[in-house]
Parts: sequence; C-alpha cells; structure tokens
Amino acid sequence: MTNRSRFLILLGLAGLFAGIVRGQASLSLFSLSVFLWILFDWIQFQAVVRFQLPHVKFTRTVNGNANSSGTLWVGRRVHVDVRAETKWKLACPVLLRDVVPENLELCTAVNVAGAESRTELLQGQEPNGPSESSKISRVVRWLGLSVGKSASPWGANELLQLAPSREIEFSYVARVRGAGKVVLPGIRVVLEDRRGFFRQVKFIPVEQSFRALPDYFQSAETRPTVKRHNSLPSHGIHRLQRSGTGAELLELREYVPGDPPKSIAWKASARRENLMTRQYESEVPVRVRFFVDGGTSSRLGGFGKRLLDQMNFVAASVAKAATSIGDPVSGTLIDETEVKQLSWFNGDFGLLQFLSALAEFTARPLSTEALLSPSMIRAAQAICFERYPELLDRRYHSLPFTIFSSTRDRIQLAAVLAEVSNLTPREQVECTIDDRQLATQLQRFLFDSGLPWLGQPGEFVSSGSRDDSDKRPVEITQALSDSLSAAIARARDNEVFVLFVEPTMVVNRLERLLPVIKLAIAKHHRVAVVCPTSTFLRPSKQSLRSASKQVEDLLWVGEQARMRDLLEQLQRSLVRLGASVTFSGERSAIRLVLAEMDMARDGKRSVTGGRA
Amino acid sequence: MSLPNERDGSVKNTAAYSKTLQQAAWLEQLISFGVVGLQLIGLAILLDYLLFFGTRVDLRLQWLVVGLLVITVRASQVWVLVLVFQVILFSRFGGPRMELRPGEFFYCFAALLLVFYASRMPLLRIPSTKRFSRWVAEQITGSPSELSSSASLSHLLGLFERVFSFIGALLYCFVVLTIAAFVLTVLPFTPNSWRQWLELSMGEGGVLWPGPTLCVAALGLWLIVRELAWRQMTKQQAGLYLRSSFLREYYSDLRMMVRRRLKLDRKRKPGKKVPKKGGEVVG
Repeated sequence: MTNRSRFLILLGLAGLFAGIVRGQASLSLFSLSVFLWILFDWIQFQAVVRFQLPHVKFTRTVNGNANSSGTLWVGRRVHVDVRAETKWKLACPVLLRDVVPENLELCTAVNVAGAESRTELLQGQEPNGPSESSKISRVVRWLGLSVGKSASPWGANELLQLAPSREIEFSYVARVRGAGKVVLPGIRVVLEDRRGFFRQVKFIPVEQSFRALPDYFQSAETRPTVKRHNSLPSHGIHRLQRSGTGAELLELREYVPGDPPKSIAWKASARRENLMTRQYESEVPVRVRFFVDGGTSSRLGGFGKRLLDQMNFVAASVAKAATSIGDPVSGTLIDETEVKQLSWFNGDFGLLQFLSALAEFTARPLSTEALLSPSMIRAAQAICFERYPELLDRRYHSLPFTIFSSTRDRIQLAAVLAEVSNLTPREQVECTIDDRQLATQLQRFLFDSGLPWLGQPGEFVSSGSRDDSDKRPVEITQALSDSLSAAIARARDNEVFVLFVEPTMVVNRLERLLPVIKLAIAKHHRVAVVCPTSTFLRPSKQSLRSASKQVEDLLWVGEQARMRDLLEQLQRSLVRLGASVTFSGERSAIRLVLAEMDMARDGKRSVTGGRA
Repeated sequence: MSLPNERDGSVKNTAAYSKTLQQAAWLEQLISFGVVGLQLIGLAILLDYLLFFGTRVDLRLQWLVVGLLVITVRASQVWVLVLVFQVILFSRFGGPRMELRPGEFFYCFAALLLVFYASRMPLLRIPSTKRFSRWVAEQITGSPSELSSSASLSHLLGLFERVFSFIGALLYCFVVLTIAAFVLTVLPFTPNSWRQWLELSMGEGGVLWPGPTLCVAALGLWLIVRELAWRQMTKQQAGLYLRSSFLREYYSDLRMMVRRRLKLDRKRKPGKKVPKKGGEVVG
C-alpha cells in the first residue's frame, strides 16, 4: 500500500466517523464509497499479484544466445532481448527492469516492440515527438502531453508497459567494460495499480553468467618471421648455427654418406660436378612470458578503469600478435593469495585459453580486507533494494526495538546477508556488532553482485594482523622476483619477459627486482616492464602547470610532480640495466613489447614487419 | 498539403515528405493541447457547479479555488479533492438522522466520478490523448505512412475503447456508491436499522445480532487469508522469517556470546601477554 492510499483511507474513515456522529448521510456515503473503492481496488490488485504475476515467464537472449552461460568480449557491443509472456493480460501497469551488473555499460534502447498494436510502451527515450525547448517541454509534460526524450526517467534496460498485454518485449545494447565475469541476475518487476494506490516489487531470477575476455588490439602490420640469432642462456655468448627441418634454405654442403637422397641438390651438384646436399634453417619460436601483478592496488577502481584492465589489454594484444605467427605465450599471475603458473599456449585456441585464464584471474575477489565504510553499506543496501526487495518486507522480518535508524538498517542488512549468504545465527549477530565481520561479508556480497570495490587504498588492511600491513607489497614483489628467476632457469632460448607491475608499489621495492632483471638480460633475454598508470596521472609537461591558484590544483600539481619523480627514478634504474620501460597501458606499451620481440628475433628493432 | 509524388524519387519530394511529417507532428501537438484544454474546461465547470452551486461566493474567489483544484487534479493529488468534497458535504448537506435524499446521492456520484478521474496516473492519460491527436492530425495532413485501412481501423477501435472505458468507469462508480448505500442502510446508523437489529437480537434470545455469526465468519475469513498469504511466501522469505523468529528469542544471548568472544580476541592479539590468575605472565 502506498502513502497515497493510506492517506485516502484515513480521510475516508475520518469522514465516515464524522458523518455517523453528526448524522450526515451524504458525508458518510461519500466517505464509505472512497473506502470501499480502495478496498475493491486492493482486491483486484491482489488478484493480479497472486494469480497473474507468478505465471509470467521471462526469457533473455544475449547476442542471440539464451543459454545460461557464454562468452563476451570487452569493449564490444552486447545485444540483449528480454521477452515476457503470460497466459492472461496483466491488468496493471508494470515497470520491467533487466538488472544489469556494473561491468556492463548501457548504450541505447533498441526498439519498443510490443505484441499488440495498441500497446503503449515507454522505454528509455521515447522515439516520437518534436524537439522542444526546456521550459515549453516542462509545461507540455506537466499537462501530460508527452514524455520527451530529455525527461524520460527510465534507462535503456527498463520498460514501462501501460496497456494490458500478453507479450512484452524490449531490447537494449550494452558494452562490456572490463574483463572478468558478467552475471545478469534477473528482472526487477514493479507492479502498480492504475491509481498508484498499491505497489508490488518483485525480483524474478533469470540468471545468465558470461565470461568476459579481454579485448586486444589487432595490428595491421605483418610480423616478421625470420629469426637470425638463437642464443643459449648459459656458458657465455655464442651464435647457434644449427641446421634443422625448416622450409628456408640455409646453405649447401658436400654430400656425406648417410644424407637422405631427397636432400641432394641435383642442379648444384651437376654444376660443381660434386654431390651437394641442401641444408635447411631450423624454425624456432620467440617465447613471450607475462608476469602480471594482480594485487589490490591493480584492482581498485571501476570496471574498465583499473590498472589490471590496462594490463589485460596489453597482454592480450601482444599474445594475439605472437600466437598469430606461431610464437607461444605463457604467464605467471600473481596476487596476494597465490602465484598461478600458466602453461604455454599456441595458436588461436591457445590464445583463447590464455585470455580465459586472464579473465578468470581478473574475476577473482580482492584478497585484502576492507574497512567498513558508509559507502560500502549504502552500496549493499542499494543492491538489496534492487535484487532482494521481498526480503526487505517488514512482515517477514521483525527487527528488535532500537531508536537508532542506523542500527535498525544494519540489523536489517545483516538479516538479508545472512539469508542470501547462508550464515549461521551467530555470524548474523556478529555482523550487527563486529565491524570487521560485517565488512568481510559485505565485501563478498558486493563482489558476488558484480560490483567492483571502489574503496580508497587507505580503507584496506592486510588479511593478517593490522600491524603488518607493510608486508603486503613486499610479498608480491618477492613472488614476482622468484617467478622471474625460476623462468630464467627454465628458459630454453632467448625469451621475452614482460612484467606488468603497479609503479608505486615496485618503486619502493626495486632492490628485489633489479638483480633478477639484470640476470635475465645477462642471459640474453629481453625484459620489458609495463607500469600502467591512470591517464590523469601520467606525467607530462602540461600536468606540471597549475590551472589556477586554488589549493586543490596546487596539491594536484604536487602529486603529479611526485609521481613524475618516482617514475623517472624507476625508468632510470631499469633502462640502465637494459630493460625497456613504459608507463602507459595502451598502444605505446604494445609497440614497446613487440619491439622487444623483434630485438629477440634479429637483434634489430624493426618498425614495420614483413618477410625479410 | 498534398502527398509527395511517390514515382518521382527526387530530393525535392523527399524534403516535401519530411515537411509533411513535421507539419503532422506539430498539428498533433496542437490538437493534444486542444483536447487537454477541453478536458480542463469541462473539469473546471463541473467543479464550479459542485462546489459553489447555490452559494453567493465571489466569482474571482470561485475561479481561484477552481483553478487550484484543477491544478491538483492534473497533478493527480486526489486527496485534496476528497478533502474538499468532504468539507462541502460536512458544511452544506446535513439531514436529520442519516436520511439520504436522491439529490445528495447524485452529488456524491458526481464527486466520486471526479475523484476517480483525478486519481488516474498521469502517464496513463498521455497515450490515449496522443493516439487521438495523432489520428486527427494524420487525417488532416494525409501523412502517407498512416493512411492504411488497418491503422484507421485501430484508431477507430481505440476510440470505441475509450468510450467503453468511460462507461465502465461510470458503472463502477455507481456500483460502489450503491454498495456503500446498502451497507449504510444495513448497519445500525438509522432509526429503522436500529429497530430491525433490536428485533433480530430479541429473536435470537437477547444475543446482539449479528455478533456470533459475524465473529465466526470473520475468524474463518482471517484464517483463510492468512493461510493464503503464508503459502505465497518465497523460500527466502520463509527462511528470513525463521531466522527472525529465532533471533527474537535468543538475540540477547547470542549478543552476549559474541561480545565476550570479541573481548577475548582483542586480549589474545600477537605480542600481547595474557596474565594468569596467579600473577604469572604467559606469553
């Protein structure tokens, strides 16, 4: 029941009482009529809610696929069609919203198709209507003449169905923001009677889960396929001139008994009057190994804006370029909880497996605890309101008495969390009292609901004691160093090692990485260090000029200067050893890594590729 | 406004076609304004009659009050209208001992119909107005896309639908009012019904009629409604209800246990020494 109907009932009953007391038949009649009218409306509405709404069947197809799982690609458009079918026409206006996770960015509403010609639909932006100035459009809307494009309160994934209909269908286009997992949980249905007296909110689960693979940059350049040198990593430098079973001719030599007859070069033998044998080149790959830092600092931020998304883009693009010419790729994925070693991948299928591993790694939850904050609670409450409206019904959940609304909200939130996450009663009570426990449960709840955690770095603590938070960055750097040295020991020929690290973390622990990088370069491997930074923090000449003399601008310039110094220090240390460094997570980083691969191949940097 | 020549695919005719459509759109908007304006005028006249008929209130004050009420009706603030009608009925219509006159019955009917109209959601008023205006505009301008017979038929059907829904609203109001009048006559608010109830009670052996029957019926109805409501619960709602019931009983005990455990955890932090009973410190 809405406040509208409550107020009217109050007026009706008050009028009825006054009419009976004063002996006024007309007042009693009118007031009782109002009360009965609302009662009949309630009965009608309940009939729709109890008997019609449960029979509504929803189906959703994503890019034409109605299966419960699938694969999507970052940055590419996703076409979603939602269809609702029911045996009887829904007699009340209904607002349907396909709940979309944070990782999907809505683009537009595509069409407003309905099964019946007289169906009136309002979805997203209304397609008809001339454009109006803002004041006139406000008057027009108030008069109830139109709902203009600028005034539509519904998103592209929402549809308000006004007229009764057996079939409702709407579509929208979205775009995947970041790699990981995309879960479309279901449809939120808001049913309201035609007078706004009663409202029922329900969430109908129609779950579809998708793996979002990172996008890659497809270069138009052809990659060279000739490798001039192949150095062994141990016992000094020497050139390998070994014949093999390749397709290209290396040299001609004199025939030795035991050589296969088909390798004899008859024409050259006739010319030299001596039997000559063809020697072919050996075909060797340029192996690329990625080391990805997936720690907390790389995962902070919204989908598509995290440092890890930049790393995924560069890694995927380089992997695509490498596998397209038969070079294998591998990776070591590091975060606070584990170091995952990937096997070698080759070819298109291998590329897909590599991207899936990256997506799975990106989809992992944060391993560090977050401190409880009001924004975390608000986010969780918003999700509960959207996806679990039935659990917020006070009829099924009596709260202990308290005068503080924040305590009451917290108890209610703990109850919903307990039911959704299947907690014990003791854990539920812990959530109402212990901030840490509530923060842990909320973090898990928010992650399961597809929300990235947008907390500030200062709002995190280590998973162990709060006193040893300094240990966290060292562990990742140590793991990075250990993995790199293990990779060097296992390397067969000169390989390319690409390190994706968060710059502020590595610059403080550089002493752990420098020896290993030095060792790798000494063994004739190529090392590229990619330190993605947010575009607004990338140091440039303009960034050191303050826009005004405001305190915020001056602080901003100070932060830029500090970042610039840190990155220059890092660059100096690494370039001195012979490693390449970039602070971008975009195409320039891809070009740098590909250039390192060219260097590994022929000792020469080539800007454009091509068969030599 | 003539139709573009469809056989000639020149740019000029395409421009004329789009100009025709634009004209149709503006005409539609104008007609919508007209339709809404007529509705508002009709509403104002009816309100003026219901509120001020037979009174000697100043005309300007009448217009002001009616204007304000029209705005509230348009903004769908129906409680204002109900309150105003109740005040009018309270102050103007008072009969001895709850006797309803036919004039009062029709006054209540008109008032209820107005309240019915005012309570309709604003969004629901738009499509029917737009449909009608669009149809009229298309008839005048002759926009080619809508001249098919099925489109005209659908608009005609839409018109009939509106007429039927209006008649339906009238009947609904009448039925509600009739039921309310019936309930008022049955309940003991008038001398006739007092006498009737007293006779029936005496006939039942002095038990206040319809006390026992009503109680049993109400109890049965309450049980049925409650049972149906329980059975409509989802699994999660049922789980939440069980948790809530359990916690209502044991919340204080669980809270005490949790607080004690937290206190012990704080004491057992690494590096902190917990003293034994005898004063000896244990690391």
